[in-house]
Amino acid sequence: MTDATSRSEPGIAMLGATGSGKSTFLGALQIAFTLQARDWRLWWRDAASREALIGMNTALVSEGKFPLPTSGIDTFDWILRREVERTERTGWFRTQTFTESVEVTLKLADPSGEITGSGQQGGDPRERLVEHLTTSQGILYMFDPIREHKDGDAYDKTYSLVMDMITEAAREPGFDGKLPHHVAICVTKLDDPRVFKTAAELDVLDWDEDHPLGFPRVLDSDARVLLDKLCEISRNGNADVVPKLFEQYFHAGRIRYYVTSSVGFMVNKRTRRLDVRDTENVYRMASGRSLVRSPVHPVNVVEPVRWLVERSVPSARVPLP
Amino acid sequence: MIGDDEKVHGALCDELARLNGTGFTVAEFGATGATVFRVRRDEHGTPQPKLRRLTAADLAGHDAFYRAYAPAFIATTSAGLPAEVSELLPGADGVPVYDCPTPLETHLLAAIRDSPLVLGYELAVLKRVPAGRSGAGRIYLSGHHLFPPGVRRGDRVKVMVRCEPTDGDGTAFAVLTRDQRPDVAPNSQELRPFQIQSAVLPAGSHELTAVLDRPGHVLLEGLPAQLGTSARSWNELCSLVPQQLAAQDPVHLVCLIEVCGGDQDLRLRIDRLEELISEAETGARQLLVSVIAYGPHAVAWSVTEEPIAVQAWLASSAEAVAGLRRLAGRRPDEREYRRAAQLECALREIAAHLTDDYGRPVLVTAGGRPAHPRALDTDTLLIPCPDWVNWVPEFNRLAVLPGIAFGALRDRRWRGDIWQALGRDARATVDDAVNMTDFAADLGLLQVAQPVPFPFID
Repeated sequence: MTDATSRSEPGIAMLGATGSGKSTFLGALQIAFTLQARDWRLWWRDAASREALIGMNTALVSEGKFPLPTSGIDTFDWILRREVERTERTGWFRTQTFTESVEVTLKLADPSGEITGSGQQGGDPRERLVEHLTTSQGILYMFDPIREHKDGDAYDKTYSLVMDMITEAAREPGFDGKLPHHVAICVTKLDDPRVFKTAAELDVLDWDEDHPLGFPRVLDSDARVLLDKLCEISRNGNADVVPKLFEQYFHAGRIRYYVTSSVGFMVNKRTRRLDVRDTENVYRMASGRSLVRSPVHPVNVVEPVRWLVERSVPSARVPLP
Repeated sequence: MIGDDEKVHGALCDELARLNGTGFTVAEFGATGATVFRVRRDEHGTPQPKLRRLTAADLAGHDAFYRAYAPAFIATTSAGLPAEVSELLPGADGVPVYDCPTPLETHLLAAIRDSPLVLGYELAVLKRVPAGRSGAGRIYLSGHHLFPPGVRRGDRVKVMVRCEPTDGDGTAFAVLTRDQRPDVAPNSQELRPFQIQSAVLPAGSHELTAVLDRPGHVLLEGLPAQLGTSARSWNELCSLVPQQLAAQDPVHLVCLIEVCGGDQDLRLRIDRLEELISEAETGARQLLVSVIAYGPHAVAWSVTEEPIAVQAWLASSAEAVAGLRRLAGRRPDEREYRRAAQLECALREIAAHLTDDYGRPVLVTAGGRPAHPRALDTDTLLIPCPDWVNWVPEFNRLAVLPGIAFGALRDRRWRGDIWQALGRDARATVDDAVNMTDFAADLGLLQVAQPVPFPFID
């Protein structure tokens, strides 16, 4: 058996309004890989990335608290590695099996929600964000339907950034008006009763009878339907323009929708399973900070990251068990 | 001249012992004139002296004086008598004359005080016609023997009586004699009170001690309240004797108190419930009190569930108040759920145990948070009860208990339909001035009681 390692640095940027759950998503990422994709391992190369990963993980898992919102841009160099066994024919009657290690550097940028807004054009952090977005190969876009219901500013936060990216990309010769990135649009907070109820009413909840906690998920193929419905009930009614914006300025085939919950559903302490009468796994305390109510079991956190990685590093594309 | 104080006393005692319907007269001659005392027994057999100072006309003639007053003896209280009085002194064979420096009135009252009873004394009490007799169970007024004839002052007897809840004029304690006409059966003989006192006493049994102070006056001791003059006449009291006792069911007051939030809010709720218990205690009915405390459900696995706490159950008012006070000083957890409390589970707990066996239930809830809903509620977004309890059927289970009343002492910022239901019969805001008398009256805790004017004797 021989060993080979392929490396790539795809760079994945995160976008989303303040409180849309970007930091929580990152905090849940290692837990999600540990629980769902144990052949993948996540680690770091620099102290800042280590501190960030351990801090977020500890807050969520041990303390039941949420990572504090990002100020400015936090950039983490995290490494995702998996080993893949491949068998190849080496002659007329001979094959050889070898293990290929796929190692992907995630350059994850978690900008604060404030600097993504249209009123922040021209500032230094803003310029760094636009540069990072433009040079990244994938974008994780966090769409918070609850925030949209209250504030309805997703379009405002997204439009100007995409326009800035177009401005940057237009400098490249041969630019055809579409940005080359892969975009995973994550509809967050599936555990929130309003999102959950909307999904249930649309009949897009997919129940896996074998799931140990009885969690449902929304299939990727149904995610856009749920997003459309949630956009309908947003405060200013502009939210449905956001997916259209992406579809207009990115290649439609490079956009995928996911419905996620970084902390997962509330698990009933007595039955140790989800009870659909009480799904929300977050409680906002008197201090304003949030508390995770039951153990974190992320829903659809691995999938969008894995998809972006696989699009960037084709050799990493191995079906998960 | 013969005599001294002792002889006067002895003579008066002899006269009192012989005293019958016609009475006797004694006279006192002093420096300022002559006085006669006419002594007769009243209808209770008590000697009653009547004093008359003689005028010049009364002193007009020796024979006329003796014909008019026929004194049993004469006491002279001064050596220097006026001439017209000296002329009235008898001859050697006349009525005895005692030289007595002490006023005759003093001797007379002392002799009466020491004289024995000639009629038995009884306490006015209520009794029931025994089973098997016509009108069995009916209440009637009767006398309970305290002192038989012949007893003198200082004699004492203990009596166990039972006071029923009554109105604000309290229970009357009347000492009486009977009109002992031989042609009337003892049970039908007229009762004649000579002493009527009353007091508002707690319902229940009391042992009193009757002490004969003197003929015509009995001290009643050992009751939990001081007896005073009765505001009602004997006839009024007799007219109020009921044939039957109205249903005066005891009350079981259940105080349900929310412990959520800060200590200031909690103390307000405690104070108001204490006021209510105190008000109910004066409601002249048997009162049992329970105290149940409830907080929020644990919102997260990392938060310890604070169970419903029974501070007192079917207890006295004092025990219940002590249970309430033990709740003060609670420190809330920062992670405590702020938007609801486990009111639905508290109602379920009460509904499982509360009956009307120990009295008419009165449920008073002090708090302000809504109950946790039975399931996901996307309107309120309240976290559901982990046991999926619905407060509505639990409330309805309680509402069918006979006679139950619901009162709510609500926080200023109360929320939830449940508080409308819990305040069905009475409601007030804890941080306002609460007219607790009205509040208690609305719950039937101060229901005007049936007058039961006399104590019962079993």
